[in-house]
Amino acid sequence: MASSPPELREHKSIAGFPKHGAPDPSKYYVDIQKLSVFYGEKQALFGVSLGVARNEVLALIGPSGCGKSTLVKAVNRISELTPNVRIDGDIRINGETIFGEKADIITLRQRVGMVFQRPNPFPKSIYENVVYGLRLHGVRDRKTLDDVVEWALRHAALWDEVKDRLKTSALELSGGQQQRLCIARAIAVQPDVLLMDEPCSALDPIATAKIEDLILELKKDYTILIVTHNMQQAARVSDYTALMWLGKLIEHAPTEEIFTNPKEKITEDYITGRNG
Amino acid sequence: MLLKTMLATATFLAVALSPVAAQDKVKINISGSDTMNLLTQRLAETYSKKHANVEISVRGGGSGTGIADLLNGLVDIAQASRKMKEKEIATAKENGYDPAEYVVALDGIAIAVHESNPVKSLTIGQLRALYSGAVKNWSEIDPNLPSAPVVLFSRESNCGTYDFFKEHVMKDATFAPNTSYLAATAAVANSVTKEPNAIGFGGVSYFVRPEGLRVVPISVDKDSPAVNPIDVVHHHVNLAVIQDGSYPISRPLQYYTPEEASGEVKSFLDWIISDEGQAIVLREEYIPLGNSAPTSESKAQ
Amino acid sequence: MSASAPPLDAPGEKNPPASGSPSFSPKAVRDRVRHSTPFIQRLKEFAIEKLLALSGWLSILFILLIFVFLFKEGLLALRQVESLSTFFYSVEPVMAYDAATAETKIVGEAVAYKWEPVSTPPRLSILPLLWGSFGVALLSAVLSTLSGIAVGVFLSEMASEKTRNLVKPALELLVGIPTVVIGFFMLTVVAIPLKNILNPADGTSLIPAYQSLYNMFVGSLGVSVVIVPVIASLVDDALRAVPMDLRAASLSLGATRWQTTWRVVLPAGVSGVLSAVILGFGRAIGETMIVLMCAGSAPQISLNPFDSTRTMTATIAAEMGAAQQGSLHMHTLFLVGAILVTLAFFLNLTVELIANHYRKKIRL
Repeated sequence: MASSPPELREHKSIAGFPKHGAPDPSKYYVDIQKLSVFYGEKQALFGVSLGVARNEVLALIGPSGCGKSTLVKAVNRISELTPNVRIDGDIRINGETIFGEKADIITLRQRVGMVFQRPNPFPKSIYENVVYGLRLHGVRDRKTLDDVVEWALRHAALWDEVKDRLKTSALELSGGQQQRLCIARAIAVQPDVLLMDEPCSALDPIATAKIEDLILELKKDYTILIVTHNMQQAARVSDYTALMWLGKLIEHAPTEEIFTNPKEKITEDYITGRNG
Repeated sequence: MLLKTMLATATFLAVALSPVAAQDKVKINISGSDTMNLLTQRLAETYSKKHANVEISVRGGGSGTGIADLLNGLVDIAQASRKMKEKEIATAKENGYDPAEYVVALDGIAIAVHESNPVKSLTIGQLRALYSGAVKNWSEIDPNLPSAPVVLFSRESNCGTYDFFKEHVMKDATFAPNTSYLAATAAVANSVTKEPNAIGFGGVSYFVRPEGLRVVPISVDKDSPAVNPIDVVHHHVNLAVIQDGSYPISRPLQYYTPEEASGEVKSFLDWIISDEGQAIVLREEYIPLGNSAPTSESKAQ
Repeated sequence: MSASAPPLDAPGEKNPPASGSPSFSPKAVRDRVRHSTPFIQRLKEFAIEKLLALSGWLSILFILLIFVFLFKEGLLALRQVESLSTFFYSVEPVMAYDAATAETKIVGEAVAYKWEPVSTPPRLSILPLLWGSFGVALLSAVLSTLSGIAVGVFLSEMASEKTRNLVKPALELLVGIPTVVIGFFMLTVVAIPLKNILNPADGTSLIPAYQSLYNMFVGSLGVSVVIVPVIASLVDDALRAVPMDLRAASLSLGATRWQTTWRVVLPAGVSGVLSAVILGFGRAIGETMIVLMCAGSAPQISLNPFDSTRTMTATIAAEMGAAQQGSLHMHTLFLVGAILVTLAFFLNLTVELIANHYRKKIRL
């Protein structure tokens, strides 16, 4: 796990997974089943069933307030921070339920990393940001930490920009660099799944392009759920796209199909800009 | 402090709002002893209320200041908590005055300990030892007393009781640094009842009915008899021992006038030694002259 | 792939220019608003604006006046003494008790730090008062910093909304209780049982040095009652100002709530926490009634926290009313006041500097 050198991590290849045609529920690595989420009296999700296979990228699109953020936040159970939240249904990761009585929320969050809407590095050095998760889990060995920092920063395409100033505050980085640092921080604990909640919404186009390139790199190793407002971004980075509308799943299909040949009227209207 | 401010304000208002025009008034100026300041203010206040034509102004400054003012013709009455010195009387004669002395009240300080403290009596020297910090443990005074550190209470340094104690007991010594200064005699008494090893002092009349504490008889020195300022049986001040001076920490409080008093000054002085004036004396925690008082008026020397 | 997909989120498209409507320049809009505002309305606005500015300047003026007055009066004390050593020490006779004669006599001289303003000559060492003030403030800080921070952390990070809504107003109420009431409570309810527990008369003493009923410890305990809620409330505010995002980031990396608080929230809110502690300390230095009532009022320099003590504030409160106008005693009290104001000024300055330092370091 985290304490072993990162290069030794096993990356299973899942070659031959269908890129076209309907998604196959039997192959879902993250499997969301009839998920309903309530904030107090208000229902935000209505029995959404959806999934993403290993090393695939699923883009969640839809207008503001449609429940797509709520959906990804349920996957690492971070939505439970909100007071009065209630969740029905199930989410399975690699076949294991995350809501079971014995479910270990700490392990879950180690396996499911998250990148937030706004870059949120800790007010610590770049180095300490990356090793934060490892320190939590008791890794103290200097060599291991150094190795992970280099590996994670390289994977987040940030190493060359910051390798000479690892001890400076993360807050001195630009917005785009901060977001890549947050990705490095998330992958440093060796998760299987990455959740990205509109990771580029606070970034300029150049920084956005860098993150998008990075996502394409990362999907070799991770299963990714990305929430985005940006249709082009969904088109560029994802294998599958799901359109959410008022807390319901409207359409879930390979990205190319969604954008060229949507089955639902709502989808067509949304991607052509007639509503939303 | 607050009381004083309120008093000052009240006096000011009383004067300011008085219907009689200021120039019609007979003015009596008094200065001198800070110990007596509050007493004189109270007396003046009550007296001016009954006699609208009299305006009395009272200043402190100390007995010495008051007597000096008197000799310089600045005041009509000097309040003094000590007798005039021979040198001062000589100066007065040189200036053409023949000062007259009027004892208006008596002052005594009671020494109190916790009721469980077995100490029978204390000499002035022992009191000085306790309060200067030369003795820190009760057993050093007497091996029969408990071996316990002495806890010292004093009145706040701005009151006459403190002055008097310092002058008569401490003399050239200063108070031990661990002395607690409290704002009122009530606070001293209250604290002594709660601290088994405490000693405190305050105006005699406050300790007439002691509860939880005991007033210690005091002697001038080892060979003199110890005298209790309180009649513990009848619950009143032992006036006789204070009036005849056999209780060591007591003194007469007097007014000096440049000449034999006359006119409004005389009526004011007469009123003070009347029952009404003496009632105020008692209320202010001083000792009234009492029936067996020595002649309240006598020529100085 | 889907190059034909319309760029829905492209900038500018969300708020298309309202074609067809007449174009306004900002100035035209402003002019139009101005001309439609009646004269009286504008006069009113002008008056309100100036009144607010005036009250701001007045408060600054008052502070300046207090400074000037205190220093002017206080510095007069320096001119009334032959040597500045008067404010630090005096040489006093050493008294010894002779049991055989029951007399107390002078046996020598020694340097002493005495505050006996009504004596001849006045003893005006401010050292025991400084000692008392700092002693009480430090001891209160020790007693209340940890618990204050703990309560603040609990409120901000652990407590449910329900608990918070109950505890926070209660704390604020506690801050608002007149200190004389707390002093009275300590004096009448706490002091005696406390001594009986820590140093009972039967000799099974936990702390033999606990001799005085009213002492620095009791005073500090009373002051802590006031400053724990002050610190807790400020810490709570400081931690709640730390963005939720940071907590979410930490939790999403597998941290527990406590790890998140300890490793992220507290370091991020450290300037607020430090400010809270320093302000608490300042409040303790300035506290008057509680120490006047239950710290024993003995001006001494003693290392024993269970000895009676007397602070600068208590001294001013007790003596200012009776000190002779224009006397050295009066001016020395002003000098003590000037020292207190200077202390308060520097404590507040420190808070500002810390806040600024961290504001630069941690962009919140």
